[in-house]
Order: sequence, then C-alpha cells, then structure tokens
Amino acid sequence: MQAVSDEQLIRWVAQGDKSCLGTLFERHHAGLYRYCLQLTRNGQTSEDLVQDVFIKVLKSSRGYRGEGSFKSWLYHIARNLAFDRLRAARRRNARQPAAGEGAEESREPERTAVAVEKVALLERALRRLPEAAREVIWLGRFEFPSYRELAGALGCTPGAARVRMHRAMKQLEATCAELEGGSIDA
Amino acid sequence: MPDQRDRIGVEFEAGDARERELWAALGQIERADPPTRLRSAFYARLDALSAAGPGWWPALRRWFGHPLLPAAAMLLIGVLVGRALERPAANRDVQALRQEVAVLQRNVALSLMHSRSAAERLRGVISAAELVAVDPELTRALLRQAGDDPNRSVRVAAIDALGTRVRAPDVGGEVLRLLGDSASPLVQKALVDLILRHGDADQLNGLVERARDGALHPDLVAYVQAAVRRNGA
Repeated sequence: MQAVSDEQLIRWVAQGDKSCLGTLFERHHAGLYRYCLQLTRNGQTSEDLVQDVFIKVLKSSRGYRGEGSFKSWLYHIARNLAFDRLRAARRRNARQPAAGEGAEESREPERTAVAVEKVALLERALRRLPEAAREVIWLGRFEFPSYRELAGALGCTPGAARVRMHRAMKQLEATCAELEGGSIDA
Repeated sequence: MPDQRDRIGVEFEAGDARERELWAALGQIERADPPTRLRSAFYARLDALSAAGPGWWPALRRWFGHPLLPAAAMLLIGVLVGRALERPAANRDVQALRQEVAVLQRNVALSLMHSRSAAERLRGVISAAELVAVDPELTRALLRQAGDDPNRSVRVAAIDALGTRVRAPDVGGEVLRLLGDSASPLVQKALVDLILRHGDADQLNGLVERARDGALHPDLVAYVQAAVRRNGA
C-alpha cells in the first residue's frame, strides 16, 4: 500500500517534478530489472534497459493518459525497449549466450536438495522457452496479479493475455518434461 | 484487488497436480536483486539530463532582467501553491510524498556511499548529513565511512555528518576508538571537534584520557586541553 499512487506521481512528473520520477524508480526498478534479466539474460544489458525505461518515462510522461495502471504502462515501455534491443542484438548476431545470471544468486540454505533441483530444472526450462513465453510467465507469476493489468503491459486484451499465459505454461510444462523425461521433480 | 476470475494463477492453483506443482515451483525461483550501482547510475543520468536541458531559471532571468525579480516571483508562486495545498487531502498527499522523498534520499545516500568514486561517496555523506531521522543503518554507514574510507575528505565529512548521533553511547564509543586508530591529524581534529561540539560528559572524559595517553597528535593535545579549560570542565 503506497500513500501516493503511481498514477499521481507520474502526473507530477509530467508537470515537471523530476523528483517524483525517483520515487517511481525506487518502487519499480527491482521488478523491472528482474523482468529485463529474464528477457535478455544479461545483467549489464538489463541495468541499461532499466535506466532507459525511466528516461523514456520522463520524456513520455505527458503521454500517459491514465487509461490503465502506471505499472502496466511502465512494463509496456520496458517490453518495447527490450525487444528492440534483442532484435538489434540478433541483427548483429552477437547476442550473449543464456547465462542465467539471476540463477547464480545464492540460495536459501533451508531448501531441500530436491526442491533446489526442481527449481534449477525449472530455470533451465524457462531459459529454453521463447522470449514471448518466458516474459508472459514471469510477468504473470511475479509482477501482475490480474489478466487486465498483464494485458496492459503486453499491449493486448485480457482474453489474449489469458490465452498467452496458458500457452506459455503448457510450453514450460512440455520443456520440463523434455529435460527430465517426465515430471518436473522426476 | 482483481476479482477471482481475473486473477492470474487461480486456474493453475486449482488445476491438476502437475499444473499446481509447476505454478508453486515457479514461485520459488530465485529473483536477483539489481546491483546497487544501478541506482547511482540512474540518478547520475537523471542529473546529467537535468543539467543538459534548457534551464528555466536563466530564461526567467532574461525576461525579468534583475536577478531578484524571478526570486520574488517564485516566492509569490510558492505562497500561492502553499495556500492551494492547505486542503486536507492535498496535505496528506504532500506529507506522504515528503516521507517517500526522505526514504528515497536515505536510500540514495546509502547507495552513493558504496560508490567507487570518492566524489559520489562524498555526495552520499553530505546527503546523509541532511537527514535528521535517527536511522541505525545510516549511522553505521557514516561510521564506516568515517573509519575506513580511503579518501580523507570523505572520512572528515562523514565524521562531521555524525553530528548529534555521537551522543548515542555505541556511536560515541566507536568515535573514541577511531580517535585512537587514526593516524591523520586532520581526521583526529574532526573527531575531536565532533566530541567537543556534540559529545556528552563521558565522551569528553574519554577524549581527555586519549589526550593524556598520547593517542593524539601533539598539537591536538594542547587544543583539547584549551577547549576543556574554556568549557570549564
């Protein structure tokens, strides 16, 4: 629960108060970084993207019409920038190999070996998915509680967001099965 | 809150065993925190952008000719805005925003103090000095800079920024310890001034003991003795 809504803050940014952009940055940069990391699999690129997103927000703040949540709008911007960058990287044929930097972080010691193995398998499966499937799973699982908000970020209807989510989950399930020849905790 | 039908995950949580398991396992994926340098890099970029943009202040000055006139105009605008903000709802918003800005400033200060650049660390220390709220993490960070920062100016600024925080016994004790450890007379002088200005009786006694034990630079011993005499201790 936040005292001042994101939507109010972005209106103040549009009126010229850049300090409010800092507040929005503080609220959203970590989630946005993780989302970019899922898409690009590269820490430095994700850091650059997060900065680019907020600079873009600053420049486009007057364009925010308040039709959806600010967060959906923010992630929509991030998505466009991230895919632009991925396309450019592909053109240069110099895309970084899937490194899974996020997965290299330390793990909670109390996790059981089986659970760690299961999650590691899931991470490998996620990395194998196409970006579009990976992003919808990530956003749906961690960032947006509703299909309406997810749709705002993806730039589609809630119905389409639901279809994409289900399709992506099926892909993930199949990839897990492929990696382990059955259930994800096999 | 989204209604149940719109909520993502409901169908997976209620699905077959594999779906439920998959959905639950997804929730256990480790989520990397962004590095602290991201914050400093973003604010540096924002600063640069603000500095590069066409400034409204010089434009106003050009329009009005005299440098004081824009200031008067801004004061008038400030009063009008202030009156407009007297409405209770707006006041709550402003209050809440102030709190958020304070949290933001604190986080930025902490982040800057981890920077590789001495100038950035100095900015962090100065920013921390402006915060009045008692914040143990900020105090610890200032003590760390005061004791360990490789740059002497940052160390001195951090000592100065500790201010009245030195009255807390653990902080005062740490400052006295630093006094014994520091080889730089400049840093020692900053520590001595901090205790003379803000320390309590125990810390003042500790300072006198350090002076007596020969832990201080010889010039500072005389300085402490003179200050104590002046204060009638």
